[in-house]
Amino acid sequence: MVDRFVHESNSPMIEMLRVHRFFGKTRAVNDISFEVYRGQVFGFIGPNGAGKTTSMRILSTLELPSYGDAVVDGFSVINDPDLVRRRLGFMPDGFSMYPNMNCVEYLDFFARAYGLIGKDRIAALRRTLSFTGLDKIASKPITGLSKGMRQRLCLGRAMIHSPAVLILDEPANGLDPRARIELRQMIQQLAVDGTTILVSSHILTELAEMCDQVGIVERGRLLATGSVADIQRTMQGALRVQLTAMDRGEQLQEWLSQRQGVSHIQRSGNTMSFELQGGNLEQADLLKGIVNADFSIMEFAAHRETLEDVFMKITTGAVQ
Amino acid sequence: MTSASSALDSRPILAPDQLEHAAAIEQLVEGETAWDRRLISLSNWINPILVKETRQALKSKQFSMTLLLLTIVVLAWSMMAIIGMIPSIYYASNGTGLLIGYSIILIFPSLIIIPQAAFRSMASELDDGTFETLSLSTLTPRHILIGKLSVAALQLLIYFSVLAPCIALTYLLRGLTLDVIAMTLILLASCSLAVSAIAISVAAFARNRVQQVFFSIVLLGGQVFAAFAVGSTLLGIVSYGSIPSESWIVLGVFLLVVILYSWLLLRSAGCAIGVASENRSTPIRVPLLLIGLLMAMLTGFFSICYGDRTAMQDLLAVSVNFLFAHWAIAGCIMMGEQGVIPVRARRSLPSSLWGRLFLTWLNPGAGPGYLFVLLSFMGSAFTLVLAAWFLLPATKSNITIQLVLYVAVLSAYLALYMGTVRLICMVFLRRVMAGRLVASFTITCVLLILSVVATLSLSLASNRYQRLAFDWYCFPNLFWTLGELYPSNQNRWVLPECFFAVVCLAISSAVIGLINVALTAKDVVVLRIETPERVVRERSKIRSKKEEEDELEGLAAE
Repeated sequence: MVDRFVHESNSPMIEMLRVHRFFGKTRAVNDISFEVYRGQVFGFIGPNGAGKTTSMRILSTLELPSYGDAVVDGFSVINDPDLVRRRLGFMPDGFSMYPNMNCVEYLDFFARAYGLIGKDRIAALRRTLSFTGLDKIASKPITGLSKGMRQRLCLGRAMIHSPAVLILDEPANGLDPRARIELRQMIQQLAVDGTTILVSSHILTELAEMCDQVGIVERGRLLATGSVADIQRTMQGALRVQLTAMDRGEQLQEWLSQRQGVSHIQRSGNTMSFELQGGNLEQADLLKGIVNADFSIMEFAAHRETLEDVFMKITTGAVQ
Repeated sequence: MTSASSALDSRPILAPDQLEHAAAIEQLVEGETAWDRRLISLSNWINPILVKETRQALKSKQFSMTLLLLTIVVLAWSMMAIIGMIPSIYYASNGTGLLIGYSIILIFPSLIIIPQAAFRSMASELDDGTFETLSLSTLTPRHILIGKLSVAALQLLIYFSVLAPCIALTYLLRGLTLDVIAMTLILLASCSLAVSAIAISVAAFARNRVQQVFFSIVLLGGQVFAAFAVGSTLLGIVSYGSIPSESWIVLGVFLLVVILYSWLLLRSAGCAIGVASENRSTPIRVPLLLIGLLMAMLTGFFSICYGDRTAMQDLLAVSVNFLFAHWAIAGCIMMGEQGVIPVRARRSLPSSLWGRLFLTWLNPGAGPGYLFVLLSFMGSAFTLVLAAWFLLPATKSNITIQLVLYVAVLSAYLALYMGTVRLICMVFLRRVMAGRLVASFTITCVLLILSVVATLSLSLASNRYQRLAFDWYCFPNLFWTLGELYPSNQNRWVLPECFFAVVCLAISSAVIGLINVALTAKDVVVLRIETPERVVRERSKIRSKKEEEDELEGLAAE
């Protein structure tokens, strides 16, 4: 097994410290700061041109920040990029490939490039081929691979040296549902094994499922960060409740309008929806009140906004 | 049922295509035979780029086609030449003509195909984005560039090996000595590698598609020129039939110059594609200094050893001009460097008293660079000239004070032009981050052209557009002034216009030089920053791990 070169402490694996990146007058990254701890999956969400890729390239030492610094496992991307690179696997959004090579030759080359020799290289190759499922197409030329297989190969290349941190830029872009699910499972497995993962994607439901934390960026600014539940809680003060009564819809609406914490009631026949301030306790209390007031309830459903709703609420869709 | 057979039964049954893939993995990672395993073990020490590109080349159409065409052309030429030689082939000396043909055939792959392939290989790494993924690995830019050059060397070796039996045949056909054949091959191989090194470096400097296309065309032009130059030289060598002993010395010096400048070029290219926060200046200044010193010693040595009394001064003047060109080109590029030294670079600045005293000029930045170039040129040129003046007896040397003054004039021009370019860069390129080196080189060229045009116009105007005559105000025109003050024109120095031109030059260069030295003070006082303890620990951990791995691998190979 390859040494992961990771120090044993509770400090964050990834730290963005007031990172700025300017391209002329465009502020691609504008004062972004966040932390990701070991074994966490951090999702980077934002519209096209929001600064996700630039931030990831800065973390991968491919770009220098104009101001601020990014730190990976305690090493600065500006001052010690060589040490950062040893801990890092980067999967860019575009797949760059070499002609006249097959999958196993491609991975073998990168294993050599990462300084793996002898038994370490053989072990790394076997592990990567088996993990990514590429062992079944090992001798196939890269040029003949499907998009999904290319993404797997790209992931294999990024993880061939067992990096402590994986940065994945739009890994599920253009994949079919099956390939997407498989890729998500691979990412989750890597996180379980202790790899810290920073992943960007447009498919928000997918990120919500696999990320411990997310950051929403737009026009180079980090608009919100935290766990999906935290962001939902912060962004949405009230629960949205959908209620269907057996009869007496009008009376129920009147009864509800007199209750504290209930607002924005909309009624269509015996079905109504409204906003309820508070959490589970208030929800249970309201339901108990309705039943005690002799209303016959057929359906009562309360839900918080999804990540997609929150994303649409936070971002304006503006581009630079 | 035995346990062995039950184990066999429990193994998954693989489909034929899966078996093929499994075999491919086995073959690549483990090897089929003991010989394979030894080769795989040996490949651990070979540059990964060489391993990768060899694998690619073996599957590529370009390499196969070139090899096939070369074989066909060589066979065709051999048969045609031999048929044409019959019946004199049994008694006459026919090797020369045959070797000329082989040399011309070899020139095409050596000087055109291989360097172009090297250029494309490097350019496509940068263009396709594979360089970025490669740069994230532990391979340094030096590894990458050397790997590309080794691929060119390997291809050259393969092409040469195709011709090896044919070249042996030329020797058997009489008329050629072994040293002629050896010199032909050495010259061709060294020129091919030098052009490949240039091609790789040029590709590394190209930042976008437009630059790539431009460099590619310039390179192709240069390759065609090199092919003609090398071809005519080889024709001369082979036709002459024997090699005088001095020619080996010339070849040796040529090879040394080629190797040193290729080294410098590859280092510069490595710095261009390296990490932006790295100290990219000092690694280039060290070979620059070494080349400058070596060239001074070599040119001085050959002037003294092979020059007679009457030609001594001219030979040393040529040497000094060569040194001037070397330092002037390096200097005008260096003036574009930024004055800010990154934290990472500051960790490796000299900290001891002696280090700060003698090595500060190697620090990055235009300020230290100004003094570095000026002092290096003056040190090497004055040492060369003064040593020859004082140490050589009068029977051997005709050196006069004019040569020493000529070196002083060259130094003044270096101080004036570099200083002016630096001041322009400081004022106008303050906020410019990228392309500063190209900009400073362009500014120098523009200044030189302006000085030539202005002085010629002024001279014509002051002589009523009748004739061109040198006068004191023509001193900014470097070429004209140096031509007037060339050491062999001894009587020109006493003319008032030349005297006043020198005085004006001295005053202006002293003013510009003093301003630049004053501005350099802030660059010189930059102090070293201690490397964080964890970084030091980490680096030593990596080093010891690498040593341990090398040792284990060595034991395994034994």
